[in-house]
Amino acid sequence: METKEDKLTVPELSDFPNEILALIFQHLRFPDRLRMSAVCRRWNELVFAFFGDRIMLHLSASTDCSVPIGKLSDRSYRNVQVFWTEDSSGWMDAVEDLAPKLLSLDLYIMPEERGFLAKWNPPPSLMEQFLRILANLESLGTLFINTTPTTFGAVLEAIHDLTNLATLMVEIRIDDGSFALSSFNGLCRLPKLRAVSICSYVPLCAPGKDRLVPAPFVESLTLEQYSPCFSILNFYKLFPCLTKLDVRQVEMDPEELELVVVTWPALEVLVIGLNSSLLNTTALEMLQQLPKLRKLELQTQVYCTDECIEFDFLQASFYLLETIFQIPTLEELRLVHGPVAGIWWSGQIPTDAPSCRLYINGIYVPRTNDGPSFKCDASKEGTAIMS
Amino acid sequence: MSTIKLETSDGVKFTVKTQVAKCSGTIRTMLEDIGINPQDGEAIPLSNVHSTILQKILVWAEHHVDDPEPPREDADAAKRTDDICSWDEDFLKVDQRTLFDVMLAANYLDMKQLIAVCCKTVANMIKGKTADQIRRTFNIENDFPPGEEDKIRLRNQFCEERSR
Repeated sequence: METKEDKLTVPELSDFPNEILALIFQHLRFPDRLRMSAVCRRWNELVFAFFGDRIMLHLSASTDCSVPIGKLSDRSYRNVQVFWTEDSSGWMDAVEDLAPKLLSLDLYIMPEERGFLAKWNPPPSLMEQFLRILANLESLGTLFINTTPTTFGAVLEAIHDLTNLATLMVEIRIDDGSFALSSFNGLCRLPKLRAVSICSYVPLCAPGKDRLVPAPFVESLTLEQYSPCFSILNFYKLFPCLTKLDVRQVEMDPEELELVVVTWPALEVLVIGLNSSLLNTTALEMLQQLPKLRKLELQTQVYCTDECIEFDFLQASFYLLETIFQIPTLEELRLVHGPVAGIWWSGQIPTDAPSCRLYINGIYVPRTNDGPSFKCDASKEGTAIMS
Repeated sequence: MSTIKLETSDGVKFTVKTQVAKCSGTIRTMLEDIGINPQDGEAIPLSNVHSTILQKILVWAEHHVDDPEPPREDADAAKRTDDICSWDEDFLKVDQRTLFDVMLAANYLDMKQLIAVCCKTVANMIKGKTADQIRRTFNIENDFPPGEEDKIRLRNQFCEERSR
C-alpha cells in the first residue's frame, strides 16, 4: 500500500454538518438537548430548529424577568405554559408576540402561590390584553385553561374564532358563583374541535330558559365533575355526537349508566368509574347495548378496606368479566385500580372472547385456553400477579 | 466474487468486494444508477476519504455486510444509546479525531448504520455533561456574547419537552 504525504485538517464536532448534529441530538434526552443549546450559538440555533416545536416554555411569577423576554419570540416556542398573575405583564407582551404561531397554550389565570382555591379574577386592563392574546391564537390546536367561572365566561367568548382548535381542556375553580352550561354554546363554531375536557369545582348550572346549542364536531368528552349537579342529558344537548366518553371521576348509579348508553349509542371508547352500585351484572349488562364499543376501561372507585365488602367485591369481579366479555365488538378491556388500596381483583378469566385484549393496571394479561386465574394487588400500583 | 477498486484522497487504491463496498450508499448509487462499470478496472475516486479512515471503515463494513435492514424507529422519541453491540463498541474505542473522521467519511459514503452507531457514541459522551464540560470535551468555542450564556441557561430552566 502506498501513501502520499497526508495533511489532514483536524475535524471538530462544531464543524459537523447540521444533519449529523441533528442525529446526535436525537439520541439525547431533553435535558441534554437544552444543555447543548447553551454550548455555542450554532448549536443553540440547531436545537431550536430541530426540536423547538416540542419545547414548552413555562412563565410564572418566579420567572426571572432579567431574562431578555423581548427575545423570546426569536425562538420557535410553540408551546407555552403561563401562570398569569398581576405581576406577569412583563412577559405577557412576549406571549402576545408568540401567540399567532403557538400550537398549545396552558393558561393558569391565578396567583401561582394560592393554587386552585384562589378566587382571583384579573383586573380589566390585564383582561383586555389577555383577550387580545386569545383572539390571535390562529394556529392553536390545544388550549388548557384554569380559571374562575367569572373569567371563564369571557374566555369562552374570546375563543370562538380559533379555527384550528382541536382540544379544549378547562378547569373551573371555586368562585362565589356557579357556571352556566349555556356558556359552552359557542363551541359549535369551532370546526376542528374534537375533544373537550371539563373539570369543574363549581356547580354547572342547568340552562334554565337558555337553550343549549350542540357542538356536532366534538367526538370526545372527559368529565371530571365534583359538584352534584351532573346531568347527562345536558351534556348530551351540548355534545350529541360522542364516540369517546371518559367519566371515571363521576359517581354514577345504574340509572345514569343506562342513560349514557341510551344517549350516546355510537360510543366506541368508554371509561367509567366502578362504584359498588355498578358492581353487578344487571348494571354492566347495559354496556352490551352499545353496538360499537371497542374499548372499555373500568376504574374502581370502591373506597373501602373492610374485609367483608372486599369479599363481595371479589365475587362481583368474576361475574363482571363474564358479562363484559359478552360484548361482541370489544377489542380492549382495561381494569384500573382507583387510588385506594386494599381491593383485589381475582377469579378465573373467561376465555370465550379471545379477540378482546385484557389489561390490568396497564399490564397486558394474556389469556390462554386454560383460563389463567389472576389476582391483582391494588396496594401496588401497576402490578398484576399471574398464577 | 466480484471486486471493485476505490481510490482515496491520498491516492491509495483499495480492492474491495463489491458487496462490501455497497454498504456505502454513495458507492451503490455510483454503481447502480450512474452505471460506473467496476470491470473497467478503473478505481472509484473517494476524494473526501483518507486511506487510514477508509481502511477502518472497510473493516466495519466487512463485519456488518450481512446485517439485516434495521427496523424503522419513531423519529420523535429520544433514541436509545445503550444498544451498541460490543463489536462496534470496541471498534469505536479510538481517539476523538479518528472517531470524527470516521463519522464524516461515513456521512460522505452514506453509511447510515455506521453513522448511527457513531452518533450514539458521541451522544454518550455528551450525556449528563454541563455546557462547559461539553465545550472542553469537544474543544468548542463559547461564542455567545458576554452574559448571553447565563440568560440562555436561565431561560432553559423554564422549558420542558411537550409530550402531548
